[in-house]
Amino acid sequence: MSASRPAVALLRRPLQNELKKHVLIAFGLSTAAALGYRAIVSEPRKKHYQEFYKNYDEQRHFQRMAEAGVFDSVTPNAEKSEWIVEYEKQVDEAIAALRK
Amino acid sequence: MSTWGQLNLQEGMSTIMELMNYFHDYMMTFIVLILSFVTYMFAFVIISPRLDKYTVDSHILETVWTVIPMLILLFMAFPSLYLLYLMEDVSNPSLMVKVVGHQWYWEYQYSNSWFNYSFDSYMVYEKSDSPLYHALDVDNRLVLPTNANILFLITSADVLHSWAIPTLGIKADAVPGRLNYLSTMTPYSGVYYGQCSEICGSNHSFMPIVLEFVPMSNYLDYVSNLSVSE
Repeated sequence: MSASRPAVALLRRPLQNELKKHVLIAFGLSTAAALGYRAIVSEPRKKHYQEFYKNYDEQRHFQRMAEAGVFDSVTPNAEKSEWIVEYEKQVDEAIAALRK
Repeated sequence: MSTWGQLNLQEGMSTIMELMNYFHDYMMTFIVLILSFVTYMFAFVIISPRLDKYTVDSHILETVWTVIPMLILLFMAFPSLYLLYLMEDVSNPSLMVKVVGHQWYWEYQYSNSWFNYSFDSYMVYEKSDSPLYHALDVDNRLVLPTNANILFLITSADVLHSWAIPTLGIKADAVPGRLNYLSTMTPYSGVYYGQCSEICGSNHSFMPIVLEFVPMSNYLDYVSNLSVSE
């Protein structure tokens, strides 16, 4: 008659056996955490810089800041450009909407 | 400049600072990996009811926990050294500016073959009716052109100071009797703030640095007005 072998081997080195399993779990979780950090923080930051660079117009940005009086070395024009006036109106509307 | 509640680095307004931001994210990936692994194993060791009093050595374990950190360090070292050498590279500066630290203000000197002008930059104390940034605004800003390699030569006239602009990723000690150099280039016009970064006396916190980057044409207009007014 065949008797089933008792599960003696499970009683040998239980800590090491459990450690092997948990090291793999830890490695998997830490890799997932690192990839998650990369996906949530690193890649969006790179895309943010790329998007900014794609549409960046130095003269337009400079003119907007100059007409707002940010620079000491540049005197703003007495008359504001049309697109500045339009832009400031949009900013004021956005602020008013936030205050409601 | 920094804003309230800011925990991360400032936005990179120079190419080097952008690379530093990417490098910081790269290192943080490794830090998150190691921290998660160690935290999980730490929690397991505390919670697990198992105990082994008879393990005295394990060559495999020692090999693994030497080789893996060595590989991680190698992956960290190469980009770090690349960025470090890139920061030190000074190639064909278009403009040279001397920065001299005093107690407690900065002196700037534009100096090149056709123009020589120096001025002092003191902090402006805030007033209740003026929209100034506290301990950050100055009376005379250093005006510089965008899209030009600028070389700064930094020294001090009295004690140690440090000239730093976080958003450009530059900092150098102002040491009396020594000239340190820095190079930067930014494609973005704007106003960038910094502060003295080496304790230099009672007003160490009140000697800020303000750079004003404008397009080259506006910079040349500014410089020509300076030389006319001299």
